Amino acid sequence: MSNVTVERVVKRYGSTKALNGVSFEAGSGITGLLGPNGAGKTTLLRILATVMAPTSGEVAILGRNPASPRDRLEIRRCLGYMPQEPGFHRNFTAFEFVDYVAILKEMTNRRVRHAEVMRVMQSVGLRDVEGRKIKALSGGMRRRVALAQALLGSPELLILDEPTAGLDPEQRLRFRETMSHLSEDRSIVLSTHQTEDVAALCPRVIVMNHGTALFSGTPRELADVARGAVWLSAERASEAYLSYRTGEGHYRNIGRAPANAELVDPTVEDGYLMLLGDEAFVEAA
Amino acid sequence: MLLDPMVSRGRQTLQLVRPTAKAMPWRPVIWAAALAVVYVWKEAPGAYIDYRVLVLRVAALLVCMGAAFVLDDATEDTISHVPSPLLLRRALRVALLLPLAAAIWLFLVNLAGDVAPRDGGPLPIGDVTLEAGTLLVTALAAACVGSRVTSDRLGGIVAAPILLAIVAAALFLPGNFKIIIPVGDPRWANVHNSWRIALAVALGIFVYVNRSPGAYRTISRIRAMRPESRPI
Amino acid sequence: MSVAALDRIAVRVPGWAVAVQLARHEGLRMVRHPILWVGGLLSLALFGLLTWQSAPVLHRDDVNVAGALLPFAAATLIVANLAASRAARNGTDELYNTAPASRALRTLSQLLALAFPVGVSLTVAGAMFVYMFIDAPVGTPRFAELAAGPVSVALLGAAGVTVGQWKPHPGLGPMAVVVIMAFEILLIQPVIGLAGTNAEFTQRIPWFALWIPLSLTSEVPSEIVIRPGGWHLLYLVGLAVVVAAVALARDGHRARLVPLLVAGAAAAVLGSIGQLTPASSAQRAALASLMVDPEHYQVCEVRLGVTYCAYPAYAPWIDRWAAPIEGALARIPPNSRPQRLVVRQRFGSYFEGPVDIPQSTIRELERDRRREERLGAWPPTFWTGTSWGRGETEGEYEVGLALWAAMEAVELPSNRRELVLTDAETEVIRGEMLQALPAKQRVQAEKGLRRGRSYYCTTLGQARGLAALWIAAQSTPETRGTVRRVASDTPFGVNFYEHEGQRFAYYEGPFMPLYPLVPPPMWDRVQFVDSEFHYAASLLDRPADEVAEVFAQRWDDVLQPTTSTAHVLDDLGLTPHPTIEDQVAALPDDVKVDRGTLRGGTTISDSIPCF
Repeated sequence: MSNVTVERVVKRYGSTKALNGVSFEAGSGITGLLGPNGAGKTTLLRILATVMAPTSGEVAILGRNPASPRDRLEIRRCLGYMPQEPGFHRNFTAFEFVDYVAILKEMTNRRVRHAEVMRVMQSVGLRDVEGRKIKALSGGMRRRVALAQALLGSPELLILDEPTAGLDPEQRLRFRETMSHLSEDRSIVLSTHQTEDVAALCPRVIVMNHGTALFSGTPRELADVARGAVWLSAERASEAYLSYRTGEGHYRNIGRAPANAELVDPTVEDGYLMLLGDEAFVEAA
Repeated sequence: MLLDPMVSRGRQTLQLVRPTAKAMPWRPVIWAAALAVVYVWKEAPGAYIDYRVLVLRVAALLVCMGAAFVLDDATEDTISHVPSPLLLRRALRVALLLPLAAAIWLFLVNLAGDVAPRDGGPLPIGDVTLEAGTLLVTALAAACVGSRVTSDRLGGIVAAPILLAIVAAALFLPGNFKIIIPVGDPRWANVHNSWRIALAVALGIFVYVNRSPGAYRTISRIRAMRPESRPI
Repeated sequence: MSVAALDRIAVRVPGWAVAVQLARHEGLRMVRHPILWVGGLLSLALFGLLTWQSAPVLHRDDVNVAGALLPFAAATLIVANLAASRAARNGTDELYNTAPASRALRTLSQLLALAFPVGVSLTVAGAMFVYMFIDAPVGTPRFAELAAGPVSVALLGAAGVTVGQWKPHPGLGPMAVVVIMAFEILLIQPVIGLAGTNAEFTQRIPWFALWIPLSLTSEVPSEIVIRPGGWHLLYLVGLAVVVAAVALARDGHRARLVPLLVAGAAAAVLGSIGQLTPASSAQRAALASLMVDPEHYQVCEVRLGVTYCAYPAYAPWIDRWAAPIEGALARIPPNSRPQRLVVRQRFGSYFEGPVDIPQSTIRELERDRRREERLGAWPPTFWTGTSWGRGETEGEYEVGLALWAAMEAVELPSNRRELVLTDAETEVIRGEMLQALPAKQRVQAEKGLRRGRSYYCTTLGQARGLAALWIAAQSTPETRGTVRRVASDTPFGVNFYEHEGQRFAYYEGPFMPLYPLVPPPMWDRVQFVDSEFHYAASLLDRPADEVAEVFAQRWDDVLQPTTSTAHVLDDLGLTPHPTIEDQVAALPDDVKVDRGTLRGGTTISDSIPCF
């Protein structure tokens, strides 16, 4: 059964259509949302997090309808959300802030709550700095604080908007570890610009652009979009959409491969770029 | 983890008191109160009643503009999805503000002093307090409106100018509709009925604007209520 | 300096190029800000409120233009404060500090950007002028008074930048507005009447405020207050420069700011000294002469036998004064038209708030007026002032002039001496005139008659009272509108109010509901009453020529004090009003009668009929 069902959802801001009839389903496990800036990812995630209502369309989350205030409340009791730009009370310590959110999440038993706060701080690797004020934490640590509050109460559904932005490679790997462990028994919907994270974590990926879902499938299927369109060469290929020099010294080209080209296996990133077409290549260049 | 919802809501509120008080920006209201105290201390003693009431009104306006910032919450986006209602969080902030606001007001009124009958006294403390209270609720309601419309959810920045504009506009109201009038005016009692109505309206706006974010439009809500629309 | 000129400098001086471009960017943001638009609308509304009921006088309304721009100036402070504090509030300070353009340059550009709201304030002031010119203004505006408005905008804008640079918090702008306005009220207390009546304006502390009104409690002509407008403008400019220098001082380079600070302080100090210096005795003597000997200064015109004299700036207003008088005279039989009437302008003698006239002059004028009131001016003179109505209120000004001409025509007492009765007159009044009065009023009149003199007299029940009121009411379209409106707002006789669910009937008394804003001489001594007023209002529904014909045919009769209103009602086609007692008797059972007002309200105490 799908934990998240989105059908023909439209969201308008005045004359701008941020979402233009998006439809998808997400069950257990991690669903990645890929897309360029302005694709509508954040808007969609905010709708799933019940902090925004769609202009039209149907949404079902954890078997409930967020249009009903009662259902919406129940959804929030089972939801963890990490926004793209989390705000903090800068004079709170990391522990105090997560504890505060825990109270807001109706964890009124103090002992149990504190244990839970310590658990989530441990899971994001912040136990050592939980007593430090947020204004004294680095950008990456603050993002982990934001992630920690989302993990409170082991929610059935996690909505994460750019969770790995600002994380160093080790932190990103630890994040993958945490996510893969969490995804065993819950749904996670996350948005990212990092195709490596999608490839590593997400059994399912949705590519969005201009408010619509262009692709829904596995990372392998996304990569296959570029099959036969990626080749190596000694020189820059003028006929390629994109041609760049790799660390090994040869050029990796994406586009309409010439007849005798040395084709290579495409990556998720290659498939993503092929899917978005000219726009993506201009952006990538 | 949840207890009975009624019991836990009360317990939750108590537990929120300390972190909420810590999170609230107190400085603007304290600075405003300090300015108001200096102003009243300098201007009110010995003045004729109309001028004394004017001084108290200006002082109330200052304090209310500072108070409008107590609802500013930089974590609004982060915690917008929590089950605890927005109204609860905002009402708690107002409840924490009220004792301070009351103490400031009492101090200001005391500082303004008694008005001797020859100067038009006594001071109509109850009615002037009603005016100050209405201004405060209006400022808080404007701050809530501001936090909905500004991208950084900081309503105080919008509320203070809105409050100034409302007060300025009130000064323009024509004769029969005036609500800011001198003490001796025979319409004083009637006008303060209008203030009571204004207070109720401001309170209503405060409650309405603090409805939960993400509320669906009525049509979608009605559809959601229909049995066939509920997912299995 | 124009923006184009700045651009030319900018090409040679790269720093200026950045400052100008930043200033343009900030300035356009400022003028698009909704707070500034609200301030502009409030300013326009305030100007309308200050002036919409008065005919425009440019050397008075120039002061109002500056005052009306204060809401716009306050909005500029808030918007400038938000602009100046934006980088600190949004955390982009660090980013901007890595750019070649220094913080000081950014602050300078914010100050330069104030040229945009100042420009808008000029447009707003222009709109105010257009509004004034719709109605043929008199007088000449003073540049210094007009310029004070836009300079105040610049000053408060600079204050907003300063506060935003030194202490960036979005709440401080609005709080600064409240503090400044509170300070403003504090300073102008003496001018708005709290210093007592006729206080001499030698204490010029109010001039430290942003804007000093003429007076908010009475119509003080601007001619009799010597306003140091030029000095005040210099003071404001100096303050603005000082405040701007303080803003720039936040970013260092303080040594370079010293000349600016010194120049600004010098201008402010010089302006302060100038505006604190009291008017010289020669200036005050000249003002006194203006008031005491108006004949030496005024221009006069004779129209239809009436002489109109006005101070030169107000000469166009002779048309306004003549219209109701000529409208009244046209309905008076030619042989009975009053001769040698004079309408003369004066500045008045009773003011609330400080003025620049020596106290001795004011006392002298008071004495002259009391004497004139006792003995009567000759030729009969109507003293107009320096204000006139606009729109609905114009009729309230006109009706006084028309009524005066009518009162002279129907030979109502025109001075206090005429209120002293001879024995023969007393006998006549005791006879049929008393009998024509309602019973309770008769008792009151007896009291007055026993004394042999009365403080005032009443036209209650006198046909000539009705005639005078109708002649005045029909004189111009504005007077007709005014009389109809007042008659509709205050119906004759018993009225009603509700208290705790119970309806009460009350009667306020036979008092005239219409009060002319420029009352005729003897207005407070010769009392018109509600019954005759409402009859006159009813007559407006009949063709004026017909009514005039009726009065003309019975003119000599109407002039007699003994001719009662009842004698002419039939000819005029009017139905007699029911008496108050009859109205009370006809009330439904659920209405209680407020006996107190009925007892006390039906009479004019001690008032004898006018003879």
